[in-house]
Amino acid sequence: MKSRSGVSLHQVPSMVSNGEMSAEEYIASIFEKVDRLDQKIHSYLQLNREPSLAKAKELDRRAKRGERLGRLAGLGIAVKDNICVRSLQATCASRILRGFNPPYSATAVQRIESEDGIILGKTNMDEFGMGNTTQNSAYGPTLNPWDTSRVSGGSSGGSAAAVAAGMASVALGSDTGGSIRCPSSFCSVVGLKPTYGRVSRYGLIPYANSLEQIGPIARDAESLWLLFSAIAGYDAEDATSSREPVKSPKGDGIKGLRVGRIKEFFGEGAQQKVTERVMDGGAKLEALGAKAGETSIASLPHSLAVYYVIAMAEASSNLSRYDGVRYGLSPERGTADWNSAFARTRSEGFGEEVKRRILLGTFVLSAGYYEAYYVRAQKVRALLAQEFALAFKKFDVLFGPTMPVLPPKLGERVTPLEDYLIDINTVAANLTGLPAISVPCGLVDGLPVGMQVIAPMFREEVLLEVAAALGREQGLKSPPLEEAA
Amino acid sequence: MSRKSRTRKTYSVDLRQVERLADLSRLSLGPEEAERLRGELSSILEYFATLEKVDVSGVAEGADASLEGGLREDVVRPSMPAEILEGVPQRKGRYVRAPRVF
Repeated sequence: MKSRSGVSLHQVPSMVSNGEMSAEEYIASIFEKVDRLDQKIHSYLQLNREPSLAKAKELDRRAKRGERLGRLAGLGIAVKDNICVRSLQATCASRILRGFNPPYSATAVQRIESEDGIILGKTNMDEFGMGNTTQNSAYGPTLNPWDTSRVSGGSSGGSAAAVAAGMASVALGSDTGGSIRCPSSFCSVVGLKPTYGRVSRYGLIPYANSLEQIGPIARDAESLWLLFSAIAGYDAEDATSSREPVKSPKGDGIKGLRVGRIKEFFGEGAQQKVTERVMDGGAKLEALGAKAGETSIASLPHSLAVYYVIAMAEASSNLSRYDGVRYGLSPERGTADWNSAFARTRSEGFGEEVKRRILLGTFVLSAGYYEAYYVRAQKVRALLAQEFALAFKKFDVLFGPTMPVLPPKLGERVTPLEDYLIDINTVAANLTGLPAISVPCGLVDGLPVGMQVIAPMFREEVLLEVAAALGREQGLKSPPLEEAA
Repeated sequence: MSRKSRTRKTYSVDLRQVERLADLSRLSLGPEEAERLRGELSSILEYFATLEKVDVSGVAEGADASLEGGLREDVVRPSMPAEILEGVPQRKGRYVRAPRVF
């Protein structure tokens, strides 16, 4: 992807290092864009303007002195509001965490800073990551830069919209059931949900621990990889962190790669125009030398129920920490006793969707129902993992549409269940731990479509090859808002 | 409830169950909110019940525990009591003020 000045985003760090480009001017130009566009889009909850500009200035000074700068030098990075950055509020877009200042930064953020990346601010999201439109934010929705009457997707909607509109070079999101890939698909950017254990979750405010990962969102595969390789890798602060080394993409294309179309992703429930675009994308991969075929993952239709049972169970347990005593919202208690003060804080602090998930999570874990819902869901989850393992004997990667639908209209009235159903293609990667990427795959009536590609555990580099090949083939499109970046 | 009727579940929750769940979750719900949730929860649970159709005989749960996992050495490290206390919303000096228990 090239900006108007003809510079690709992934070249920014080396150009800043060489003194060919001013980090200060570049970062200032991003904030100008934020000032111009974000009143309409609402991707940021909080800006880190002065410290960002000061840091950029410092990088320019160090470059002038001939110092070697980090591999993210000068890149402006937006961070989802459930990832802690010391000195910036972390609200998870919830009233219950308004005013919470985390005493430390997430490992991913520390790694960005040690590689001289610049944290521009915190981005909007569905409250605690629970949603796929960013309409569940307590601070108002993020709009889609491609059509501001539509949602940005979620839950990392602020991060994806900021990247799409050129209000950040790259961004961090988190993905529990599709929260990086959904908004990436809806906003036509590249978003990666890394393998479970690949990126440290230290400093990520938890929602469902067995499912979630921090990951990068970018306009192209090359800048995505730059951010991913900076944040990936073992961290002693996260007990689920893996020591598996990160492999580099060879950069020699996808000739001979065995790509498998997942039959279930193209069935009923998906909009035909969307599946057609993704079929076209598959044909492009073939034209680039990949060998395509079809496969079936029989348990996929059940993955959504499995996901919601498990995610809600984990959420109900995780969110019990919000008691108004140690941090966050804390209304006057008067003479209320512990339980009623506790209930009052939570009822005022949590939004509708969060309450719904806590109640359902409590239900599926309660005596008499635990076996029927939770244990059963865990078994189907295991089955799903076996089926994917089998499919990867025949194929190097699997693909389908990221989202079965185009970005919905803002405020469209649907029941909670109807709302959950559009996550049907993304949740399997979280249940199995597999890495998955969403890559822009053309437009339908001016609205973005994303292709989801899934790889075996710890094979993110293959996903990168596919994303880069498809990106080169299609070129980059910018939202009609104005030419981005 | 007889054993038989227990196995033939209907997947709706009644208002009493919603209130019980709210109590366990430490949430207080208004009457309209409780009624709305009763309907929503029922339809979602009915959807969850589709899992009954999957044959899981012989499948072990918890197959996701394949990660090596890592426990840290049990050593004393500096903590940050001052910073954490700063974030406590209701305080009396160095003490955290909590609601009354009795």
